[in-house]
Amino acid sequence: MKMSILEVKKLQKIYTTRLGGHSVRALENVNFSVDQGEYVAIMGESGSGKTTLLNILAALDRPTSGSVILDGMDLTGVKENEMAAFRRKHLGFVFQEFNLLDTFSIKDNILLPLVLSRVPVSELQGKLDPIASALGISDILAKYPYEVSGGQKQRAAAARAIITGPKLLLADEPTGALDSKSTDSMLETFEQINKNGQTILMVTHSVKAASHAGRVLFIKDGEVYHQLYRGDADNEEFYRKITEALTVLVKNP
Amino acid sequence: MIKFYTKTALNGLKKNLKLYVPQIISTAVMFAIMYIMYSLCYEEALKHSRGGDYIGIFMILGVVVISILSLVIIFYANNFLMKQRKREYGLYHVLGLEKKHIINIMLVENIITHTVSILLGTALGILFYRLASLVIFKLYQLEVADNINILSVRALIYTLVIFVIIYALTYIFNCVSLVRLKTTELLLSASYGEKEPKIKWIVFILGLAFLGAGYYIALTIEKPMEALGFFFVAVICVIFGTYFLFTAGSIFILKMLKSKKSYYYKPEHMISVSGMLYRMKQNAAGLASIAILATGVLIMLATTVTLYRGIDEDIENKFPHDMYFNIREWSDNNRVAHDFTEEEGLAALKEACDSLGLKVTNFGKQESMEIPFMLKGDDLITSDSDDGGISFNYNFVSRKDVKSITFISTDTYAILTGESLSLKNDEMAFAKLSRDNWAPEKVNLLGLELKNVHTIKKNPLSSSVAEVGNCFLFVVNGDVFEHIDSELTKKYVEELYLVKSQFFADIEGEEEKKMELFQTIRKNLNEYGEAKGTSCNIYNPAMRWEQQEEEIILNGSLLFLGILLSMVCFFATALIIYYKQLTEGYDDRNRFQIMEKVGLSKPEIKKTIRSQILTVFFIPLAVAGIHTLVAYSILSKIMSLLTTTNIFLLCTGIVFVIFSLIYVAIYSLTARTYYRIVS
Repeated sequence: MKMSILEVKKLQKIYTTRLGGHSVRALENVNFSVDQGEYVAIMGESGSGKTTLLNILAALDRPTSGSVILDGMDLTGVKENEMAAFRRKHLGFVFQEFNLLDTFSIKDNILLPLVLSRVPVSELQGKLDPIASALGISDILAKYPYEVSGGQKQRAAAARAIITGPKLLLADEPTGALDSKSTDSMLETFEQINKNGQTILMVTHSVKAASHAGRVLFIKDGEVYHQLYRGDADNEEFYRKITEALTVLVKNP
Repeated sequence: MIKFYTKTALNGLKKNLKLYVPQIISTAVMFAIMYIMYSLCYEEALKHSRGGDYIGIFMILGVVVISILSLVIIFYANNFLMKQRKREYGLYHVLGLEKKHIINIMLVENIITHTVSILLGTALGILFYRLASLVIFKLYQLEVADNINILSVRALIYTLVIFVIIYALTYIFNCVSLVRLKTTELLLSASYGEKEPKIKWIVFILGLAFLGAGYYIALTIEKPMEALGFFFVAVICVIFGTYFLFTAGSIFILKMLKSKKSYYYKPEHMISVSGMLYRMKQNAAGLASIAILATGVLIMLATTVTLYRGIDEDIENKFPHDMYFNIREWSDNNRVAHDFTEEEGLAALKEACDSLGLKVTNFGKQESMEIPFMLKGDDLITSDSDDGGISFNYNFVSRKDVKSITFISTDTYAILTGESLSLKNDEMAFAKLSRDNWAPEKVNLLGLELKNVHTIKKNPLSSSVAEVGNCFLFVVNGDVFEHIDSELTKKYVEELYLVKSQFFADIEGEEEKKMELFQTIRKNLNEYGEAKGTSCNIYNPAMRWEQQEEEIILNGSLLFLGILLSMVCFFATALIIYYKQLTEGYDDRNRFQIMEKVGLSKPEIKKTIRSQILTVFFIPLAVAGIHTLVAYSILSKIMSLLTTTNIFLLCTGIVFVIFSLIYVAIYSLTARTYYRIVS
């Protein structure tokens, strides 16, 4: 039996305006779990609560109630001043707009989380090389972000996200800023990373991106509305299933 | 249309208030200071008191310097503002405004800001003019006049003209650069994805060479006159060196740090080293400017404060007695003639004092001879030609083997120092008057053999006598002095033989009467001289209070000018620092947001920001400190020409401490802006 690495229970997030007059329920009651080694995509329209959910999972925001348990640790119990270290240690991030630092070379961008965790210099190269060659960015390590293409930037960002060996890789619209060719290669990269045992949770609008995942969760009005398992379906078949599900999702208000 | 321009311009200004307010304030301050300087030139209340002639000259000098500084500072601020607003102008262009419309909007904007700063400047000028003139009266140690000008229209018009010219120049400059720009360039965001800077080796080496040359000159020059000549060369070298090293040297050091892996790959180093690399490229020139302006302020204040605070000590050193006048002597047909004797001089002085109710408390005569010799072994020879006349071309200031020796008798030595020396006919006492290290055990000169039996530590002559050249003092007994005197008289026909025979006197009585006495003496000497067919100058009468007043006026004017110029430099420094913080803030905001996502905690981020900002802003102060320390070496020699006081080091130290405190204050005020933007 597969072990679950992430458990989200009764998650609720209510935003109140400063004066307390208005309140917006971003997340109503979200429950799901992710198994070790799974590749999960979360889909939903704008305003469905995807971003709020991701921010809570990323420990960037705190829920109003409910719990998020990552590998046995309750995220909501982590103290504010330990948050950064927790993120660095257990989570990896890939963002839509890459978020590479323009003052660092690609290599230094990838190494940054290791350096922040005070990994000895002698171990850096050893950790960098396999990941860089797996992601096909070995020959651009010395370059600066502005010197490489969007796809390369995103692969560098992915390398940065997984170099610490995080328990969970969170991706926020990772293909949103890429052209179709780069998107394809990026999705392949994600699949490959997943095959090596990395658990991935991806938030996306793109059916194509979602069709590469093993399971898709649909969020609507702050709740998990529906979920689809890939089963034995190939990417194309799964793509069709997701589209159908989305259509149903839109039809039923 | 005008309505549209005004509305758009006002809108633009309102949105960028953060950028414009500091510019308006600092320009207003410069305007006010220039107005104050001009007004002081035309101040009737000062015109007829002492110093009235000086203040005009000094203030005009100040106006020239401030005009240049204002031009530079206003251009700097203008370029900064243009850079920030290019995007906005680009947007107007995309929305369908033609470039000529944008130029008109810019014109309205400029007219608004410039009018505000001129009005503010005028108000500040009028407000602080009274304070400035009070300071001048205080520095000149005068009683404050009650008819100080309230508003000088002439000064205001002159100041306006200068500023309008500067404004017009910046406007033309902006128009030209706007017309030449392409729309896409206008829209391009300020600085995304800049290349990592490369080490510019040529600039780096040039910087080292310039700084090395400047420092070498400053540290090795010994002679005050040469120091004066070379000071500006050294200043220029150091300015260039500073600019070059800030641009190339900083990158060199950072790259070295970066290539050292065990150092670089540490959280606290990695972020700051690469951040600094990025920063230095954009800020090197600004930081170098801060360093140079700060050095300028430090040097200006240290020297002028020293000169002013040291007046009493200087006068005490140079003029231990109330009054002096030379006894005319000349070499004529190998004979020295004395115009009047000690008894005659005293009698004449007493007579003049009696009529004014004053008393002569001390009267005496001091004699010295100064003559260059050539040193060959132990022999000091007066000539290198055979006929016995002097023939070597005396550029003796720079020739190492030429020693300029001043002889005084033991009697004069006793008068000068109050100490008695007893010397035999083959003995002498020796003192260095300059920095030459020659210290003979014995010398042969003019048929005499003299042993050095006593080295005098403190220069007994008033140091105005000779700090220049290879100057030494020989004290000999009365007989030997007579012998040398007559030998030299035989040999010399020319003026090379400098005999200084001086009466000095101390007078007791009312100050005003003393001044009157001095006028009488001067008149009498003049008449006496005319009767003999010469002028009063040859007696060179000098009175302590007169010298003191002269120093008060001269050094007071210098100090006042120093304070005003420092204030301008200071506001310029503050403006640059503020703008730097602002741009850094916007640049870094993005960077730190990313770092937070990657896993850096807020306190960690704050720590890195702090250390980077601290380094960036305190490097200029440290550099200014080092520059000042080096400049101290050369300046102390130049100062020895101007004053005999030894409080220069102390003043420099105090000025540096005060300046640093104010610098820290400016820094922390402006740093707030930065933190507000970043967090």
